[in-house]
Amino acid sequence: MTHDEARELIGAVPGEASAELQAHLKTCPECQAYRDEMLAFDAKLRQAMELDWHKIAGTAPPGGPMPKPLAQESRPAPNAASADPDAPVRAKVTSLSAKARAPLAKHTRPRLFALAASVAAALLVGGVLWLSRPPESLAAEIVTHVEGEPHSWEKTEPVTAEKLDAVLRKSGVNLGSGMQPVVYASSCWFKGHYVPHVVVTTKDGPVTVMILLHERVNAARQFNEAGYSGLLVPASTGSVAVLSRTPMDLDKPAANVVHALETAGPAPR
Amino acid sequence: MIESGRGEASDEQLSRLLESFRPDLLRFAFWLARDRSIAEDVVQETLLRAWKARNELRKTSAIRPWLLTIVRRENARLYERKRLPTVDLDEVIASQDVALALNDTDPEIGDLRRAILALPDDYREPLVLQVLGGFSTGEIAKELDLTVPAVLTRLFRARNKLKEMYGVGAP
Repeated sequence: MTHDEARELIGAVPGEASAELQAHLKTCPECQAYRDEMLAFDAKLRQAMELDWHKIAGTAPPGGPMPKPLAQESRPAPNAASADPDAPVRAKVTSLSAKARAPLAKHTRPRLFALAASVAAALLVGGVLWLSRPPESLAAEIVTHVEGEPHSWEKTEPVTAEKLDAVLRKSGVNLGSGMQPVVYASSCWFKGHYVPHVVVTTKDGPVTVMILLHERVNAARQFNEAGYSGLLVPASTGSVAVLSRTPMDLDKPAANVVHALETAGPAPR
Repeated sequence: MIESGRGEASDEQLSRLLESFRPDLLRFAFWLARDRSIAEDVVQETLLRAWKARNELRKTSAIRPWLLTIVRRENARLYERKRLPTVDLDEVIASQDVALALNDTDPEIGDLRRAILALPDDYREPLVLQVLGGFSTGEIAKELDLTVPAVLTRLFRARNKLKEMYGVGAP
């Protein structure tokens, strides 16, 4: 592999390195330095793209004009939290921009509005329920996420240091050498952020660890959900979730990760 | 109907789940469309379409890429078929609401956001799909009807252009 080929690959996909690229990086400090630079740049890029939408939405004029057919069919729900999803509620309908209004107007047929009304009503009720969800739902979301990666529990071979490093760096996490052996490491999209999802082996069996830099909890909380035992603990930045498929003492693995996060400090950018 | 791994999700659960993705989808749509109102319209349409097509979805773990794909296609449909006027970048950046969102406590991030907005569509779209959408190069190639080498080239050039505009300098 030439320098140019290596740099094109790094510049296109900084977070991944094929075996061929890894071999090149071992013998080429310039390309390794370039990769480090691109990984740091990518972290900034992700941060830049993570716009706080509420800052934009918050400046919108309150309640845009509602298309007439929908407005006629809609009325306030007596109790949004307990309403049937198909109950007629006043749907949140965004105003169409001047640029988009004319082309979209062709779609505004009564049948579509009837459908839109019922769907938007369902979405609004769902949104209200979502916003009023208890903090415990974080545990449920963690379990739902982990259930989506069942293969992670079956791994037995330790992941390479490079793989683990790439996963942690993608989320700006530094654990030093405080978490071994790791048999599964993946950078997962969770609640709007990439988070490290790893599985470590313990004498009692595999334990899943998710490092949630953007989720704060006030105190440690145990949970049992869908057959999983879990523990959510506060960390110096955000929180750490640990899960097992069988009941076991999760305090120690959780404490190990929290300690590693605290002693290793922030990840280099 | 969707299987979440714990049986079938009810319509109410699905509507909650769909709604929970709205901020994510809005961000994604904004970087594609570079217009707040159009992004909101695209996401509204996306959620409606997702609801209508909910039987096509098999697992909740696949919902995010599925929704992002709909957002991208809705945005393309609006621009390509309906021939919306091209966004005036200076207008977008100057508008007060967008300016507020682009600013950040870290001024470098604000500059980088403006640089992303200034990227040509051919570079910005694969980059947003990769960085914000989490799509692989193969998935981007399929989505944009390009070859994988073409996607790699665009991603490489996108980052180089950004670094130039952002002030870091080309590698």
